Amino acid sequence: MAREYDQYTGRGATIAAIVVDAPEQNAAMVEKLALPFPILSDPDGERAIKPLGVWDEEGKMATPAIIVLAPDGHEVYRYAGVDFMDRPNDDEILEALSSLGLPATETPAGTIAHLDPRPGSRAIKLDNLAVYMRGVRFASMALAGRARDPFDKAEAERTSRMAERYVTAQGATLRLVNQHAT
Amino acid sequence: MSQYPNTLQRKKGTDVHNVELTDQAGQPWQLAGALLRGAVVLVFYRGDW
Repeated sequence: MAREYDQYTGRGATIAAIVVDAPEQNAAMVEKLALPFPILSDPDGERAIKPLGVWDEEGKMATPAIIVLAPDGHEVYRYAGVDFMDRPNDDEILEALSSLGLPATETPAGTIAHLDPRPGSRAIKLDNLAVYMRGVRFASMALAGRARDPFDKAEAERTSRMAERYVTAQGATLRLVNQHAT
Repeated sequence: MSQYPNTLQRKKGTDVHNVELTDQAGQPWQLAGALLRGAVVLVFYRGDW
């Protein structure tokens, strides 16, 4: 998503990520992933996560979700994932944005904050993500092959495609981060 | 649309224009301000777990 940011601004949108983490952690994440958009902190979920209905009570954090708001604030698209890696394809979000017919957004250049990257100890290192997601991809392909139930089969296939997109995005992000570093 | 049945709903009476959060630099960020620039894609994620 971050790697296709101009696809979003070209359709008159900006992106903002929302998470329960503190601003310091978010600053490290913005740096680590060279994000062109802000990460906003909603520690107890009361400001946005709960009001927008994407709170995971069990985990005390947001459920992975994407919500698109038109300029008047009404919701035009919503996707709530079923697990930590469940994300929609960019295409569906871009389609929802295109249907609004907005002019391109002006984006201020050079908004990436520069702080020492301090990813949490349990986070998967970016270099290792592709290896992990390749594992997910092959495991879900194998599960799809064994599944008898059509829904389970479709879900396994969807997971496999999702993992493939992660691998692609990881490659693009690594290239960008290396560019920033040199 | 997603092929997954979506059961999560926005709370009734929520006015997104009042949403104010803190960005990674500790600065206030207002949803109403972002909407002045166009559509807004909100990406919720679980966090650094």
